[in-house]
Amino acid sequence: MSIKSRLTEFGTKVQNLFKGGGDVAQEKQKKRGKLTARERVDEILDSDSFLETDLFVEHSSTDFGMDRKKLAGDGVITGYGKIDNRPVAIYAQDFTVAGGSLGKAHAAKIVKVMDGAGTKKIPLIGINDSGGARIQEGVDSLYGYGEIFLRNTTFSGVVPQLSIILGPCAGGAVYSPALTDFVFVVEKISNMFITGPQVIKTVLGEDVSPEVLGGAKTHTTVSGNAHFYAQTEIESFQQVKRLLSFLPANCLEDPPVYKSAPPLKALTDNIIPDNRRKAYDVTDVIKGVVDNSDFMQVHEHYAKNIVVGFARIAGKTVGVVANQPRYLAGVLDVNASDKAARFIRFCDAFGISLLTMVDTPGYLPGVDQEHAGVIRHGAKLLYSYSEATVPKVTIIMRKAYGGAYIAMCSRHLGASSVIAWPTAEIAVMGAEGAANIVFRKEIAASDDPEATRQAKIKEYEDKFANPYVAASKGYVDILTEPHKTRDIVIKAFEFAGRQDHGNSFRRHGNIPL
Amino acid sequence: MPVENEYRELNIDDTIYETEVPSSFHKRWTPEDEKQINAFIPGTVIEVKTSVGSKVSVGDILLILDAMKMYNEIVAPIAGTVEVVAVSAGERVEKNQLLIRLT
Repeated sequence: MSIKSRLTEFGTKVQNLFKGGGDVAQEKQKKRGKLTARERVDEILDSDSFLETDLFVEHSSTDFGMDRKKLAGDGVITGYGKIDNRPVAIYAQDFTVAGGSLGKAHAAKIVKVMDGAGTKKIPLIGINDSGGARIQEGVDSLYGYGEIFLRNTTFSGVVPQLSIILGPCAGGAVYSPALTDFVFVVEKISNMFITGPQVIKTVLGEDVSPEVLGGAKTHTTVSGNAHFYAQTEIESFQQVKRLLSFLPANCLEDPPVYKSAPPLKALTDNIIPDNRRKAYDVTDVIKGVVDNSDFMQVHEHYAKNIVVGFARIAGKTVGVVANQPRYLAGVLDVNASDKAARFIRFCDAFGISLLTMVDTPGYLPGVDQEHAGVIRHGAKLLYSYSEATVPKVTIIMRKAYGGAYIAMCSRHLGASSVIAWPTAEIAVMGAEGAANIVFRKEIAASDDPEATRQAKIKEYEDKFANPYVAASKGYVDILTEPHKTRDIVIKAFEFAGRQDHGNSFRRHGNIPL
Repeated sequence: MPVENEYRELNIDDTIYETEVPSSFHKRWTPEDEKQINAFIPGTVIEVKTSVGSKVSVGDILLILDAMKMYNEIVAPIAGTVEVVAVSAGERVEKNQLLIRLT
């Protein structure tokens, strides 16, 4: 064979492999409103930065006529590339090739690029679009999933792992995204479930559509399995890029530092309403503190009574955790605790400082909450804040009552600095509830109980509904007005070091799960 | 994403807050009625082991329900007398369908 014909042969092979499952399958994929796996990789990476590996990998399965079937790249594209000029490892399952089904070679390609991410210490991006296990390969596909889960776990807290769900992701396959740090979903394209609608229909007789069971909205609002919701794949990729801009490549590296920039609109002293029972949007406060008012929410549509996300203070990434008075008065409940705890642990794993903003009336009362295990779930918040060794700065804006005060990164859980506004109310509970308990007998014995109640509420309020009691005991370090908050926060982070609990000899703690 | 934006009143520790409250929030909790034995899963009744008027004690097997490839023993959660047997052998039942009521 001449060199020329060898090169021609090579060219033809590559061309065929690039077609994935072929023109018809590619058309079908596009008709579903989806990009092809190769288009996705190109869209998400900096142009011409992709270095593909294992394009020529083939399966070695022989059962059920598989020996006669060639599967381009065995249904997955793997390699390395750059996003904003920073290296990442990436894989994209190709639904046009045998439904993106996972066989041994397919899994081996993913495993190889995961190991690459682990040793090079760069983020891993997985694009999931797969019908599930390749049934013809039997137990080999289960082996494949297991190997992937093992690496998801091993590299957890070492490199950021992002999963983009751009098609079906069902059965065991969902556990890889579940083990990663952030899950991105797209309207009408993403579907995630352990058992699909058909099985549910057969076993339980319950009729449910794939969208309702495990679509993008469901997972970003009801189950909390996904963190970022987008209308289109392109929007989803922009979210991925924006998120990565806040993150370090690995746990040993600092997040990228940008030039410090003031908020677009500075905080004014009347940012929160006079009446402490009135709601406001805490994201307005966050945007008044952080660089460029640039705040990227994580889990924006789930457990909206707590807001978490990434921003920068003086150019450095911070993770923001804030009660949202606009939703359920900013109470802590099962879902809010889970949401915040997971976020705090991510930040701590990757050396991202924590900024906590407090305005919460406490834990949500109710049989539902107690039965759902608010004790166990609420404990996650306490655990993750206490455990975190990154700089932790807390701003108490208004209500900080009872157990929720402790949980929201109080001095007692190891905050580096606790800052409070003059509007702060740090107390064991709200004035109404406290007065009703403390002065119960006097109120009952009064000729005019309601007047006495109001007078006693006022008395309690005057005495305790302020930051001064806590400040007098050193539980609050710094009192300041809202308009000076940003400057104080910058200084507080500047002087806060990493903590050392002195327990590095232990294997790991035992967070209540 | 739909935005709920209507503020309602929410009582936490006797303080009334004006805030968004999701519609799912107002479901009232009702205690479980132990006398009412419903199918916890859809399936087929294999055998009814009791009859109206029988006295049963805690743990007595009342019927066998075939579901999820298992013969599930449905037992009496409390002692009592069988008031109603709502199903018979061979019958297919839906989830939450009444099987037996005790008094």
